[in-house]
Amino acid sequence: MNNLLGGFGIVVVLAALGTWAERVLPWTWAIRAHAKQSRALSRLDPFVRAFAPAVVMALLLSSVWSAAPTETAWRVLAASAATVLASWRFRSMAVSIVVGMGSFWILHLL
Amino acid sequence: MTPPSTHEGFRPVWVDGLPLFAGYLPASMAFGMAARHMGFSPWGTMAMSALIYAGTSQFALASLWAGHAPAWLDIVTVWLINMRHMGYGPALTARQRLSDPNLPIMTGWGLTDEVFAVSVRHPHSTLLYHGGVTLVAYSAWILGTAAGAAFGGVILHTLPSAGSALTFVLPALFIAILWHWIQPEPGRWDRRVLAVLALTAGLYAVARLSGLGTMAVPLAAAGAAGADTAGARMARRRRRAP
Repeated sequence: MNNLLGGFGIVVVLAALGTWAERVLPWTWAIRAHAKQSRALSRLDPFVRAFAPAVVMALLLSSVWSAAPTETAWRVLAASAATVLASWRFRSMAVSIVVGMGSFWILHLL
Repeated sequence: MTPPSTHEGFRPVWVDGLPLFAGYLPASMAFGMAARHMGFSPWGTMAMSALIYAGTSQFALASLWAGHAPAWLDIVTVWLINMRHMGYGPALTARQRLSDPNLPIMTGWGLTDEVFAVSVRHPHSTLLYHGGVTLVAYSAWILGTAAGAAFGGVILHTLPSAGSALTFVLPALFIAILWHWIQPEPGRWDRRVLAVLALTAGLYAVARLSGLGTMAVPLAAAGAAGADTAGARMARRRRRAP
C-alpha cells in the first residue's frame, strides 16, 4: 500500500519539500529584508505583534475543537481553568501543563 | 521575560524545550498508532513524521492516501494545510529583530506551530536557542511516532484513560503560552492582547462554522491582527489631528 520507493515515497517527498519551502523561504526573505532595513518589514511590526498571540489563540481553539466532543466539553473547560490558575500562580509553562493534563485525567477518571 | 542569549547556554532550551517534548510525545504517538491502524508500514509512518514533520497535515495525508485519493490531491492538501507556517519566519524576524541568515537555513525546517508559539515569546533569540528547541521538539516527534507505531496498542490496552488525558497536553501548552501575553507581569493585564484574543476567538468560530477547516487558524489570526493594526493606526491619526 505504501511502498516508499514507489508512488507513496514521491508523494511524501513532494509534500515535505513544499512544507520546507513554506517554512524556510519566507523566513529567508524576511531576514534579508531586515538586513536591508526594509520599510516593508518595519510596517509589518505592529501586525506581527498582534499576530503572534492571535495565532496561538487560534491554535488553542483548533486543538480544543478537534479534541473535545460535546460530552467532554465540561472537562476541557474545567481543565483549562485549572491550567489558567496554575499559570497565574506559578508562572511556569511546565507546571501549568502538568496541572492541566493531570486535572483532565482526574476528571476523566471521576 | 529574560531574553535567551548564548551566555545562558542551554538553560532556555531546556526550559522551553521540555514542555514541547511533553506535548509532542502523545501527539506523535497518536499519529504513529493511527497510521499503523490505517495500514501504513512502520517505515512509511516514520517517513511521514521524519520528512513532513507537521501533525495535522500528516493525519490528512495518511487518511487521503488510505482512501485512495489522487496523488496530486494528497500533496496539495499538505501544502495548503501548512501554508500558515509561511507567516512564522517573518513574524519572528520582525518581532525579535533577527539578522542571522543561517537561522532559516539551519532551523527553518522545524518551525512548527508549537516551536513558533514558544520561541516568539522572547524579545530576542539566538541560533543556539532556535536550533536547540527545534531539535528537542523534532526528537520528541520522531520518538513518539516510533513508540506509537511499535507499542501504541499495548500502552492503550494497559492504561486506557492515558489516551484521553494526553489529548489535553497541547491545549495546556497553548494556554500557558497565552497567559504570558495576557499577564506579562503579576498584576499587569495587557488589555490590547485580551481584545486581540477575543476577536480571534470570534473570527475563528465564524471561519470554522463556515466549513473552512484548518484554514480557520491563519484566517482568524490574520483577521484579528489586521483589525488591531488598523485600529491602532486610526487611533494614532485621530490623536495627531488638530
